[in-house]
Amino acid sequence: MKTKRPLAPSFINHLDDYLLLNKPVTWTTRAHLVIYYTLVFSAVLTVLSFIVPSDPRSDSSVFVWVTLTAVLSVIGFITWCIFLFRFNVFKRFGEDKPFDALKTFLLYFIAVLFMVAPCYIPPAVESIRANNAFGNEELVSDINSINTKICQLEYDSIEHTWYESKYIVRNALIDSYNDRDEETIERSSQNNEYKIIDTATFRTKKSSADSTLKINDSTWHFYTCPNYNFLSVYDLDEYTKAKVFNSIKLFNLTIRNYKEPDFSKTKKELTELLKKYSSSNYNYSSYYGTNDVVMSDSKYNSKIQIRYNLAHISNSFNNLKEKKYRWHDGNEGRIRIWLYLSLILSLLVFIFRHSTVKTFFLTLLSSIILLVLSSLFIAFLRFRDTGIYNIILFYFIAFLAIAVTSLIRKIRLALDGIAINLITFFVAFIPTFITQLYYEIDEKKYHYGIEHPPGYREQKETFLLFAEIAGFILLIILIEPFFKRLYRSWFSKPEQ
Amino acid sequence: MNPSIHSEVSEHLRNKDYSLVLRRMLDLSYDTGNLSIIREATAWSRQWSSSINQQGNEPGEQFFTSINQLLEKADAALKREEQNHIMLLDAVNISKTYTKGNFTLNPISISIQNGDILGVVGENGNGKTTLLRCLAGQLYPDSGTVHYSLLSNPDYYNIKNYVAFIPQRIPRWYGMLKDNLHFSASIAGMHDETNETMVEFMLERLNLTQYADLNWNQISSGYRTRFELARILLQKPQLLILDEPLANLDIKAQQTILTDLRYMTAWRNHPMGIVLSSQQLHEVEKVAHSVMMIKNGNCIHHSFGNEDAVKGNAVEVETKTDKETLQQIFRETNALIQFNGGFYTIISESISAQQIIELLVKNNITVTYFRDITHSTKRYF
Repeated sequence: MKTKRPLAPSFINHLDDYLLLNKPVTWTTRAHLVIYYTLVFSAVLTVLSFIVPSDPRSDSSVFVWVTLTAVLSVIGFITWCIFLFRFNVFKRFGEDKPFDALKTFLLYFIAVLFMVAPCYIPPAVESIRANNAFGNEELVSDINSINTKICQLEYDSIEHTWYESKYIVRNALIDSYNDRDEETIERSSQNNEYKIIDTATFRTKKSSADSTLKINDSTWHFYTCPNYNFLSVYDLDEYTKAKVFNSIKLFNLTIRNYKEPDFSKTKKELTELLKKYSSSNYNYSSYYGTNDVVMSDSKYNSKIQIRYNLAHISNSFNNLKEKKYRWHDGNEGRIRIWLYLSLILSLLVFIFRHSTVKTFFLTLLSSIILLVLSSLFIAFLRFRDTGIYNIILFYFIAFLAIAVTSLIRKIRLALDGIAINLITFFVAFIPTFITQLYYEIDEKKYHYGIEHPPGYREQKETFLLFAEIAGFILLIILIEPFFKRLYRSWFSKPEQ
Repeated sequence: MNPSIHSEVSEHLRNKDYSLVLRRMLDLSYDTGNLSIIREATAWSRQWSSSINQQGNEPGEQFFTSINQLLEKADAALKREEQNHIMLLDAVNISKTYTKGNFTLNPISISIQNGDILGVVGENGNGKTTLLRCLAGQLYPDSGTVHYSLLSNPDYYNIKNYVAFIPQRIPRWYGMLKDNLHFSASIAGMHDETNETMVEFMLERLNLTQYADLNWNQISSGYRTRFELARILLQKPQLLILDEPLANLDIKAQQTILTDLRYMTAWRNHPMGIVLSSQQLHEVEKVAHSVMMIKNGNCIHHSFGNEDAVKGNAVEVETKTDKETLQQIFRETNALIQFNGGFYTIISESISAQQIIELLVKNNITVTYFRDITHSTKRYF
């Protein structure tokens, strides 16, 4: 045999020949070719993502790359499905060996996992490039330097007056518990200068105040430092040892004991720093640049923002933060998308390969019709979440009954095929639906506004995770002894 | 030793039917079940087939020497056991009525042993395909039973492994033809070298070697039938059911495929039964052990080679002479003369077919075609 495939080295061709002659079940899944070509594609995509000109400070273009990769993955998936049309041990009534169905499904699942995975390459490479270009501590250090230098340079233009709030504290609730807010407190106050607050609000305000002055036991003055964070990026220091200076820290460092800096040197250093974070597609305007047009009524903060183009610098910092830290959270969601997308696609492929083309598309059509009818039913009867889960479980049990009774029927009915397809597809999700239903019913014990018992939400999330895993295991356990038996019996039966 | 093939080969050599010699030598190698002999015979056939197929080419001495060597090897490897006829399928009173349409296949009983070829003949729309699909487990009969004798308590998956059905319209193949054959051999349990050897053998046996690397669109419908046959044979079914396999084949290809089918039923290594439907009566009758005639869903005749059961002699004659003249000639024999659009069918209980032709010649009737159909289902059309 001399198989020659494009872009395939000889070992892949030899492997293909070996599998064709010795492992037809594995060969027909084409998983080996899918994995090989996906790895080649991933390698090319990784190289491209590294060499394509991209400024880590500029807005992320990863969406375009992910879309492009997804489109190519879809094309790959369709091509694979076309290849799957060609050979089918099951439909050719070939040797039926133990665990063939399970092996086939797992190979489909692995192949789809490989197909979906490249969508994560462009964002990963973007993160690597951003991390290589800028360190985490470097960003924090630079933002602190920028703010400090602006404070030094703009000392004369900055308004240094601290904002003062005066409060009289009462040891009583002014209004009902749920309506306790600032507005109500102010309305209830008879004094325009002093605001009456309760002790709970007092504690909150005290903890957030930059400075406090106790006049007597019930009268307090709170002071808020002016905003010296001209450049501010939310949560930039979440994963760093060094922290971004807040206004009070900047005040203490530069304003409190102000010493006139070497203006030209500081200005040069600031310019360098700002240039460092100016992306290539953005024109940085110098201190006395053309963009330095300030409206006469603008506040000092806005003036400084415009003078130093801080909006653009902030954008660069935000872009860097997004690119560098995108993998620090939300990975659970990403893994879920990856696994569920792969599971759904591999289930569809498995069903397609074990069913007739007509029955496969009838199953899709039936699902849509059931969805529409059920939605109307739910809308008219005003069902809530428990009702929806009950309907899903009812459908599952009904189709399960039809599928099981197909074993004793003498002819092949399309309805039996549809039922087998649907239960095969949904079985992995049934434990999750049951767990969700349980918690929906359990939720009714707790009224709105009252907290759940300690650990309730964590326990729910843990059980839902267990249900998800149990669903997959249930599918794996049932494929060989149950679903394969159903499909084998149904597919081989004579027609009416 | 397989005396039948030996004497056959000798006769084919005498008649210079070298192509047949190649095929029968391949059959002999297959009968041994010995992979190395099969491989050797395949290579030998491939070596000689191209030169032999060129008309006027006489093979050299080496060809004859190699035949003798192969025959000796095959003889040594051949198992000396008698081939028993085993019942493969026993269908009793199966009938089928379609819920849509008004066709009914009335109760029909059939039994097939290995080595048997049953021809099912009849006009279009009379129930041949329905009967075949019922036997193959593709249609569920309304009444009657189909017993697959070598299977105990089978499900339909087993049945469809046991019975191979080749429909008139063969489903398209995808990919390279050879890959399809390797795949079929592989799912039938032939792996590695056995797989390669058997695929090469089957390609050579059905004269498909030169088309193996093509795809479905690149071969004619006749070759598609042959490739489908090769694929099915690699899966080693016990019973092979072919619906109109001769459709789309030229006369020579029809003859070749029918003789091949006859030889294949006798394969010692894998004997099988064959049921085939066709409208090519004479061709089918030449190879079938029994022929069933179906008309309007009824079996109107089932011949088992029992010649005594036939009443009257019948001949089919093509002549430009008018019917009155013919009636005048056969008046004293009480022969029945029917005109079937181009042919006369002359049926007589008192004189033989030989005497009918003698009478025609004696009366100076110009006969352009003559066929004795006494034992043929043609007389029922």
